[in-house]
Amino acid sequence: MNAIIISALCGVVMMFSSILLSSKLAIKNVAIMALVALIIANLAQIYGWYSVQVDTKNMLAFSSYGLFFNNIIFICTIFYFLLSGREIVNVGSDAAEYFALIFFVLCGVSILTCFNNLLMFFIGIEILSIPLYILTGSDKKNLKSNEAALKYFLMGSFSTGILLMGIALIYGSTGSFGLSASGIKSSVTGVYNVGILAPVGLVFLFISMAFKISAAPFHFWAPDVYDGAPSVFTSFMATIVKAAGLFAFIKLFSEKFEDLGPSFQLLLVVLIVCTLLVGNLTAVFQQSVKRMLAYSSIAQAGFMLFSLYSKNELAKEGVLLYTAAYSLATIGIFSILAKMKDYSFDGYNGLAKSNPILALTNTIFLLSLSGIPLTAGFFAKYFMLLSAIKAGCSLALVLFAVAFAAVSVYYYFRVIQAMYFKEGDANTVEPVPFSYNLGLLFLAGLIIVLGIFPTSLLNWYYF
Amino acid sequence: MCIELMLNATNLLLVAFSKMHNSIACTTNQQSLLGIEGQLFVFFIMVVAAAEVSVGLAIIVLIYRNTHSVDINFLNRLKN
Repeated sequence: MNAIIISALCGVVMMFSSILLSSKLAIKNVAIMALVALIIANLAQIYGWYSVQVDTKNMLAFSSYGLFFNNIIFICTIFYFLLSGREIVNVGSDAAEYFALIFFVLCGVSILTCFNNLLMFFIGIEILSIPLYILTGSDKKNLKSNEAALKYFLMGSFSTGILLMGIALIYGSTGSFGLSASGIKSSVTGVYNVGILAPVGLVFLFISMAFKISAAPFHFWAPDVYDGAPSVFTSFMATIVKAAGLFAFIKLFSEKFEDLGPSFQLLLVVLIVCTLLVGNLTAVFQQSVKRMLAYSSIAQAGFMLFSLYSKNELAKEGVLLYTAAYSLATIGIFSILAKMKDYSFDGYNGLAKSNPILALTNTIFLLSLSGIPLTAGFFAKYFMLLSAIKAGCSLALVLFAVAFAAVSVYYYFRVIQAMYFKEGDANTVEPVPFSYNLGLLFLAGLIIVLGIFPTSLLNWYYF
Repeated sequence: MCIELMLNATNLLLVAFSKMHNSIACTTNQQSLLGIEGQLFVFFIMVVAAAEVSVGLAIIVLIYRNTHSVDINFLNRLKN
């Protein structure tokens, strides 16, 4: 509850700070302080201190798992603010509003981690998406940004429509929006037989959530939107929002619909295979690093979907680790990308000579994304696949995923190759302040620490 | 417009289901409030639809300012 209230309040504070403060730097600092307050409030709730007691009529249920996920998201956001804050305030003239919108997104995230009712689920999804439509179009003079915003808006609203239809059908057959209502079995003592509605509704929910996390074959909007949006907001969408969407997806389908049986498993396997295939294979052919990252984020979502397949304790831990590993690495890569003048692979030529720290940290982030051992990405993928095997997943599917992890190495290493083994002119990157380098090094260090001691994150969760 | 239609269709469906559940429950208990949450949901959908449409129209106005038209054929900059 703390996180929901404080994040909404922070959003309002940021809106007012645009009137009171004129300096962009001051606005950025206010945002960082507000985020720290948010983290403290969330930690306070984990340790049993509530600001207000609200009777939510069992519509929200707070678990330590959800709250811990909140924490990971907020910590990733603070890295995002620290590394990309300068770019956020320079996207347009309304610096404070961008931060306000980001805080509203975080409010949606904190609802999505604790919903216990389809109504709250719907509200959370909408609070999450509507500010993102605005953020995508925030580069007002740029036609590409406008186009991306319109596409995102149309696709997003379309999937909202499907989502609502799914909820309505489930309500029709069970008579309740609650997640704890007895699965898809009718709670109304059957006068009418409306059994067929619930499975159809579930498939609708499934499709719309696949839209939201851009899993193939519902991914068509993602590359365009990620490409057109300002780089800083692409970074936010591809990491924090995507992870939260997946979390909601997993929470919804593992809690409410446990006994869906083999047909659902089949649906999920098709989704995973499509996502891995399309994401990885199209990423290979991209010329722009930004677009490559968009496709790679689709592919990474495929890996995260394994936890939905297995639904055991290991998968829950895997989601935490994967979110942290993937979000931190991608935030780092995007913050470096935003400093580049040219987003194509050739733009990275010779970066190792002109700015060795940027090249080194970028290499670590890319290694982590491709899942090389000693980086956090390796154990994230390892946990996912191990949990799938324990849940009785066929070995062929796991081998398929490993094969595509190998394919992903190819396009991540193209960037590394460009940075280290190609000659380029020295002026490809904007000058960066020392503190920025320090932040990048810290982030890279964190990824390596998580890669060597993955249990440190999980220990923190259990104690 | 089409989005509005989709959301309103759901609203109608929800109200219908709400009435259905309520009438079933009323056969045993006249004062039953079962099924009322379906109608509550409709209000939330209306609010969200309003928010969504206002954002959508703002985006379209933005495009009109830049291209002086709302022809979607202008929107092909992002194709490879």
